[in-house]
Amino acid sequence: MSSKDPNGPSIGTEQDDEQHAEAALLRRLAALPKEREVGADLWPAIAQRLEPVARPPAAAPVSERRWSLRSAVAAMAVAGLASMLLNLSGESPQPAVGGNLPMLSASAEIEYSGALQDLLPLTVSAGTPAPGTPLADFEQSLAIVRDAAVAVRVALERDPQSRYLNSMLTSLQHRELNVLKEMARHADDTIAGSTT
Amino acid sequence: MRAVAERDNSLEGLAPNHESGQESDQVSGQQSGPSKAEKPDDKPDKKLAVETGEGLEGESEQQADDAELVDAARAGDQLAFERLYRRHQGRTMALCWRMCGGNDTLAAELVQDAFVRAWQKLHLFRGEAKFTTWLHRLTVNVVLSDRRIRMRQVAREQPLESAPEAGMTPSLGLDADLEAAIAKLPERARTVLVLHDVEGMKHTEIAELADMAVGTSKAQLHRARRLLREWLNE
Repeated sequence: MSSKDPNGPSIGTEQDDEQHAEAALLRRLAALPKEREVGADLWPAIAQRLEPVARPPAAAPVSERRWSLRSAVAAMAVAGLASMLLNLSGESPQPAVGGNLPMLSASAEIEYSGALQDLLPLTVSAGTPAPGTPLADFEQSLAIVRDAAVAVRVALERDPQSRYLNSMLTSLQHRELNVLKEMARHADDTIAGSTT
Repeated sequence: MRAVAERDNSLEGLAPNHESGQESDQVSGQQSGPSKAEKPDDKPDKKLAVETGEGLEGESEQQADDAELVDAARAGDQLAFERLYRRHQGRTMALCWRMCGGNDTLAAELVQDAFVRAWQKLHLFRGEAKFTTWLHRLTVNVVLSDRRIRMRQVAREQPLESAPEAGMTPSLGLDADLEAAIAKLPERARTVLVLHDVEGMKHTEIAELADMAVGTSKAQLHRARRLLREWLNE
């Protein structure tokens, strides 16, 4: 890369050569690739180390006394499901290989359906929400999450063994249940507010 | 498993400023305004952006996408965070790999640590800078913290001078000679060279991140470039 002349250059030429060499080096450094392929997929290991994020205080219930038995039961169902889903997406005692994945997903589906059945009655009582209200926002969030879940399910039909797609579906289900849980809380608070 | 939470986290809340163009390398006692000789050191980032062809439109689109994903991830959405990871893993890997002297295994561990730390500290990201910039600084911090821990371990076990550079793997990039030469550099010189000449950081940022004086950063850069020129001319 150097343009250095070995046959005794003058001082001025030496300085020029050094500058050229430095400039050439800088060009080579600047041209180095900015990205490097990651050999193995590091995400599963990273995901295992991610702790759940605490929800902001604004999402907390107005009062502990307003927390009805129905919502508490639903929250327990969600917590149980979340724990199970975390076990599925993390390192299970028997690592999922090949044909095990669909079976695990099926069992997750059963739990998910159960939690849905617990939660849905708590959210439909609010009726059709008016646009711009919190409930309308919840409904919109639900629609987005459910649309995404439908898309993932379609993809899973083509590639049922995909660990990535299964993980995505699990995450979306978790998210849907969280939204439902918030809806139930909201409905609860509204009812409690109107009766006090 | 590395204990990320134990590491030095003094820099995560800082908003990086090397993209704002407002920073200079001035510190108290330093010369005001770059001399002609220093000029190549002072504006590496713009040059890099031009030479690597990073389009501004695509960049701003990605920035907007990143902002949405960051918002979702901050609210606890791991799927959104995974998308951020997939989007930025290559660049983070390149940074870790070069900074740790071409050790693939260590670089992969550091990438994991960096993203775990990013998840933990995401609430501190104020959105004043690009997510990539924030992630980059956080990654540098993770790498340097890891290095300090390793240095202390090595110092307990044997003198630093004889510490082996274990696990170094040959580079496979397009400019393999240069990558190998960078990997051979002394750690501090390599750190400054990678951050300044490859990543486009300013000396003030490097000095802050690497806990060294700005003058030391400049001296290390000079040393690194001189060594590289020597080795590449051989």
